[in-house]
Amino acid sequence: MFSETLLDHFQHPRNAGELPDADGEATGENPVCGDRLHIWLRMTDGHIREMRWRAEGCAPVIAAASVTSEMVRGMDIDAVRRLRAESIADALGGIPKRKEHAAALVVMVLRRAVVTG
Amino acid sequence: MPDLIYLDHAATTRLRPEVRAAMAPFLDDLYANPSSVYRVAQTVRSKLDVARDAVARALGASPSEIIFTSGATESNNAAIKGVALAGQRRHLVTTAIEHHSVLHPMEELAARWGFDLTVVAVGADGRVAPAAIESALRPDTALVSVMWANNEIGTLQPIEEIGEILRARRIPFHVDAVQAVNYLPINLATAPIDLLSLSAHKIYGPKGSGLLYIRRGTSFFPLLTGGGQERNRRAGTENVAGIMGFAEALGLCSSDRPVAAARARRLRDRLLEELQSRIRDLRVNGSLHDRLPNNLNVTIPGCHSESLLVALDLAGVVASSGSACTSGSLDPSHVLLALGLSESEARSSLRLTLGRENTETEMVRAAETIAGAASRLRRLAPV
Repeated sequence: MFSETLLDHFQHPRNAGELPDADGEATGENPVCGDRLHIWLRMTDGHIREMRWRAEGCAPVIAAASVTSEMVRGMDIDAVRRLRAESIADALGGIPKRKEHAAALVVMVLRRAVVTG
Repeated sequence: MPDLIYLDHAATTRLRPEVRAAMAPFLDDLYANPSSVYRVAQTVRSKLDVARDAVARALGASPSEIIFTSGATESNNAAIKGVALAGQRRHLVTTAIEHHSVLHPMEELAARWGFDLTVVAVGADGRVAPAAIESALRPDTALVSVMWANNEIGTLQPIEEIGEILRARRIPFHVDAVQAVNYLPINLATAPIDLLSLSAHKIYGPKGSGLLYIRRGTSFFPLLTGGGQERNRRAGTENVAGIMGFAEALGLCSSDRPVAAARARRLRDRLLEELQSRIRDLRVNGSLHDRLPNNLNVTIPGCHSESLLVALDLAGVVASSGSACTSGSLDPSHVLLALGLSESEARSSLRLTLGRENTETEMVRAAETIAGAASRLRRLAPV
């Protein structure tokens, strides 16, 4: 069972879409289950100002990308680098164990996007 | 489940009221063990005999050829292991799109008991060629198992032709007919089939009740031993209420079949038409011609089936995917891969299976809902 928060982010994804003037950008996928994720970041003064994303995969991947886009707004880039999958799962009210890879994929792509900025 | 559009009848079906009524006395006063000697037990025994006779008649079999089981998984396991271990031959044949309750016992016999296993490929249309089965046969082939109708894509196999080939060579033939029996008449008096599996809950009967038909003269090593029930071929106190429910469900299924099949086909074709008019690049998996009338399996590229199923559920439409991802495995459907679909295509597939309670209005509503969810998910997907 998915939490109400996870389902809300899945049904009403925040900040979905592309960022044409992105400072950082990365893609990634989980070949085991076919999830794909693309993240764009706008960064100034060592902080994330905006994150946008596109995702294809199970509901937790979409929800994890959505909630992360809210979490990282205004966040210090060093803090973003330290962001853990568990924090994303907590923000969603939990992710079923077999779906934890969804948050891990977001963390992986987000770290790559920060590096490119 | 009020207001829910249920499109997952290949997974299970709702118990019919007539079936519930047929079961009720055996969950109440008639609880005696049919193997006991007192009168109430003998009453139960005689009701059980009547049910067995009715089931046998509906299938064109003899009552002594029917053994009641806990469902299709047991029936398939019993048929495969029961025939394989009863003789000296050491080669088994099946197809790439069988249910796991056929594939896994076959693989287990190969891994642990030294059997050779040949898994025959199917065409892109989801059908196996009789010639492909024939060329897989060996002098020591112990058993061939081919499903009548596939549970994911609904494609029908040329069972009669395969059966004739095997009969000429005296090779036992097992058929998993779990999905077929709702819509195809089965007459075992004429069909060249030696063992056949059925399940009650796929035909509006109770879960935990199934049967295995074993043609008289077929060598069989029982999976379960203990008491002498089912003529020493399946030990264990009979699931009396389950058997009574199964007999009632099979009787209703047999009498409703022509009307149910025509109705399901009309609804299925309407659903497909509605989907095709709303969703670009939608593709049907498997032959539409040689197929169960209630089955639709489609690929919607760019639309991951697992998130689609969640979106549909939230919108009141329940269906299934070709993928086993939701049941814990991350592997895409072995059936869709066997048709030649890529992993990505297999993960973007949706199985819609209709039943007796679905309506034309539901088909339109379901198509609108599926198209809306698919469009939303496609907009989210990376280019």
